[in-house]
Amino acid sequence: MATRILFFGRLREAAGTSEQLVNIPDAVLDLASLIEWLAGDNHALRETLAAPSTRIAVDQTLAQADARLQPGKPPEEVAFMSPFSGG
Amino acid sequence: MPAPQVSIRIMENAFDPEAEAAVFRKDNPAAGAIVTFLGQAREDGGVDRLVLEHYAGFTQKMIENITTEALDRWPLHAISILHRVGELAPQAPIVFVATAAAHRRPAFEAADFLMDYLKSEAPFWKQEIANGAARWVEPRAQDHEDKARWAAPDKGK
Repeated sequence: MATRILFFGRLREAAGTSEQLVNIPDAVLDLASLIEWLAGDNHALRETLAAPSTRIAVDQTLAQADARLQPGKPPEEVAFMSPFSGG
Repeated sequence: MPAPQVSIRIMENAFDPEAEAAVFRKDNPAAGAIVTFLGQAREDGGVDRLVLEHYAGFTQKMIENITTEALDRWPLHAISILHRVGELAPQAPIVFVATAAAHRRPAFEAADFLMDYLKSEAPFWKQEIANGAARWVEPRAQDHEDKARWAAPDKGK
């Protein structure tokens, strides 16, 4: 099953897209390795996604970079979010 | 006291803060204290407009978490929160927070708390458009310090 990867705020520009549909390989076991896999050769994107100020939501619940992914049961949606600036 | 009423609305279109305040007051006849806060897009040299984005569904959920926390801390009758997304001209209302309580202190403190948390914990992203160029607005250190005021476990009780 495919996973929707979402990028918000400045991260949308870093990623060059607001949304992409991916099939996460079984070898990707946690969010940190998902970042590695998504960024590929794009070092700037990797650094931005892995920055402490980036927040990650898995299926609309906040998660830490070391959060595990269940092999064979990928999330429907993973969002990478730059610092919030509402109000 | 009946169960507190919570209303959270993320608005694609302009809202009228005075009308919202009037409705909120009417809806809370048993409250002795009502606090309303309005944040508006400021007139700022050269900024033509603001563009606000949210994460549909998740933003609502995060604001619900914030209101739940406020209800745990203060005996409130009601909370109303409106937050704009989309394009905003200078002086457009961005955010409206209203709290109702039996007495003023909880109403004041809860409104203050809600705004501090909306600033740093609600998924919104803001760009300023000036002379055709967009700039992402970053959270200020002050915003984090404001939120940190509420960290002490008994603060606000």
